[in-house]
Amino acid sequence: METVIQQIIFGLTVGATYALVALGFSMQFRAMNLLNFAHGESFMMGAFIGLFSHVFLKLPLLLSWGITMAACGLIGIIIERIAIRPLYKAPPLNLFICSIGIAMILRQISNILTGAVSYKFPATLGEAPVHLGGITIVPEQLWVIGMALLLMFAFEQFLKKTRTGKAMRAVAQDPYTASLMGISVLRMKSIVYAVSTMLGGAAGILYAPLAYVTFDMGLWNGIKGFICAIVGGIGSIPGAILGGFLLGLIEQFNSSYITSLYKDVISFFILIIVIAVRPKGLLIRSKREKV
Amino acid sequence: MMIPRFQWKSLAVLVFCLILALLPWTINPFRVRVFILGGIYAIATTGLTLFMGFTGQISIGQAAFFGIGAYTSAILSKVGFPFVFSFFASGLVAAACGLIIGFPCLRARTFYLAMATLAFGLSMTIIFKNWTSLTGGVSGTGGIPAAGIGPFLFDGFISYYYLVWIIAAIVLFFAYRLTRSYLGMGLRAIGENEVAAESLGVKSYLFRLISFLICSFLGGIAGSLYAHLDRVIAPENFTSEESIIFLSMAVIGGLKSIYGGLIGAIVFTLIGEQLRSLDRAQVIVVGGLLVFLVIFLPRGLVSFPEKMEKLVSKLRGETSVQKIP
Amino acid sequence: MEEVALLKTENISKSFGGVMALKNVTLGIEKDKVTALIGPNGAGKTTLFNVITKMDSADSGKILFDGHDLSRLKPYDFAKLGILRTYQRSMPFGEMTLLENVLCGGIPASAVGWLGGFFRTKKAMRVLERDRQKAVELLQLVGLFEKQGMLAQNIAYGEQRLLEVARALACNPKILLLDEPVAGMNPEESLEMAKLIQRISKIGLTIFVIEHNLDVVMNLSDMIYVLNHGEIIAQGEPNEIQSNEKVIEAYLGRKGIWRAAG
Repeated sequence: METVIQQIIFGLTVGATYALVALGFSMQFRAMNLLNFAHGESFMMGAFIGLFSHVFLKLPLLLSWGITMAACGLIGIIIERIAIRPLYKAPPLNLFICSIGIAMILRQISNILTGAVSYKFPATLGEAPVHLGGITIVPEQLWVIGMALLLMFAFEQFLKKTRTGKAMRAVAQDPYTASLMGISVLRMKSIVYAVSTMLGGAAGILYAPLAYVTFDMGLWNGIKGFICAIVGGIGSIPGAILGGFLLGLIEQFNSSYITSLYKDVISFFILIIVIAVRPKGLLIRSKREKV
Repeated sequence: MMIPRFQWKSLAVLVFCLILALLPWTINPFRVRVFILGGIYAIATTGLTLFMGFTGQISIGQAAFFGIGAYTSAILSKVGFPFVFSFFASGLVAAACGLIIGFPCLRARTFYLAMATLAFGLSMTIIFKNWTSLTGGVSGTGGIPAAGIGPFLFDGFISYYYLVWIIAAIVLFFAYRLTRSYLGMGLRAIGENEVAAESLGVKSYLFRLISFLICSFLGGIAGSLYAHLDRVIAPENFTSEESIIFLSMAVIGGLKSIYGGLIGAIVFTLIGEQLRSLDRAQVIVVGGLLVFLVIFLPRGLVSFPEKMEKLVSKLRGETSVQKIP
Repeated sequence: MEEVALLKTENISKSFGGVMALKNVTLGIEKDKVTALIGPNGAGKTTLFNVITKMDSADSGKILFDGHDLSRLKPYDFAKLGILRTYQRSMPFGEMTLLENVLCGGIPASAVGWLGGFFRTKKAMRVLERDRQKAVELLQLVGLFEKQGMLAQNIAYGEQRLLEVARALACNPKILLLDEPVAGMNPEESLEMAKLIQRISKIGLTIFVIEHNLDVVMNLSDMIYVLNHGEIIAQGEPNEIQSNEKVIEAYLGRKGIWRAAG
């Protein structure tokens, strides 16, 4: 019984990071009609920038966090300005292809800078496991889940309570009307991109202690973020979060009870099944295209 | 008076064919390999162009189909099946996998297939690396027999060169015929406006599925040709980076033209040598090229002459010229 | 009237969320006649079209075409049956020429199937040539013959809508469902379209048209249904409808509609 609970906790831990990535995905899709192939790379960037600040520069953790988020936000703004903004008027396919190019560039820069080496990121709250009523948990897991939930909560408050947040929601719902109301749609899109990159980066630095940090971690995690967003319903933020935790749990159970080697392949089949059976995701109500 | 365009085009095609035919005799035999690779890539990329150009969807899994074709051909040939059988079997097996993915994903929105093909590609890499009994694992499969058709054995670069390019020519011919057929028209209609196409009776899902099957089939046979080139293959040849390279070739060449795949493949092969010296930076160049082209030349290199024309007439202050095909 | 109804709807109801978009809509489209559906904005006219062509599903009720129940069909099955529709927005195949646009109408019905033209058999070439001839004739019918080589995205909006009618005609329809064919057109373009509809109806085609432009409707139609808030509030010949109190009330607040429309 204890092991099951441990599995659940571990699944939720990884799932929390997936959820953050999926959040960014969904947001970008809703507000910018952009399927961002490069989103997974923000995950990778966050992990590396965090690694660099905390491990190489030996900066305190919280400061590293701040640097990572700020850097990701900045990078997000730059990318949006240079490569994404010119394509808002073009068919969405072009934007997608462009995001592929961006992903390639980011990944390869990371490859060149870091080499094909796996880096270890130290555990945040120490390696010592804690025993709670028969269950063994690593404090890291609580940290990750806690921080992720905190970030999600902060983000939700941002969307609901701040002016920028409300403006973002307006743009996501109806860009034309939003612009009529004086909201700068372009600026909002830029902010959306920057914020989702920051969230992805946060997910990366949260995830870093759980596994190795490598230059190609962006690709699979990007896909998993996408799977979560789909499972929850693309464009739905609670859906993305739900999907994230769900996928984390499923993966963990796969890994333990079926096979660890092919666990990613199983994630792929999950994707296919979800698309086949309920393409709109679990939480989205069917919306018809207006003719 | 404007010289009708198609004459230039036919001339270009003729010159191109001549160059192709005479090439192996004019260069160092070892360099011929690069051009064989170009032909193989052209086949796989043309499949992508046919699919993506028509339906407006994206496949990031062409390297996986390529790999499936390569392994299928390798395994069958080593067991003793004749090349022609292995060749077609590669295409069919790849197409069958395409069916598994396409069946659920092509019903839904555009990007589902894109992500599914990516996930498929990554999964296949895992399978290639780990299913050691079948694929030889990380070190791959070697000792693949040379391709032979009847009494002819294509075990030298020059003979293989002609085999590959003849097949490529046949593929391009089929592609050309396809675009002129009602299937081609239906695909274009779907790509333009699916709602309107459906109300005219075009079963968009079916057409898209068929086009995807063609794409994966071509990927598969290209893989077969690849396997019999060096006669040794390994999982690292069929990664998702390769899929993205195929995608880039198709996009850079131009998705809306059947020659797009060919042009993209050739451009890549030619500059591939140059790129190789950049080592790891080459992917950055490709990525940058992709971004640049999508923004400034979204129709790919094929549209370059057209764009130049428009630019020139704009500079001259002429109004836009209506093209009558 | 009911006996020669080519297309019939019986008690069609549909709600979106909590709103009843269509309430027990029963009407019959007579063969070889022009039937119009009018009503204020939001009355549910396009919804009815969508329900008929299965782009939306009705909550209850039946749709019968030539006696056949249409409920099991998918949107792409309708062309084969001879039910063709156009849309409120223009939907041309922009990057194809006008000729190619009209040729698309021949896709499903093509005697040589999908691979028509792929294998250049004598039969295929004959069929292709015949289809091409027909497409040219249709372009002539709508008055776009000279522009056949132009790309559809380069012609005027009004011409695009004429093109769509030609394209629909290429499918050999038994009935044409036209959704606001003159929407967004200036007076000259509207006149062209009205004349075209008249020409077509004379050839022997059943037409069901949704329209706001009451001038056009009154001159063209043999029969008019009036829809308001999802319900049929009146039906009859144009002169009956013009003097119908309920209809005038439904359009109340829009002064001088009879003159100003179009």
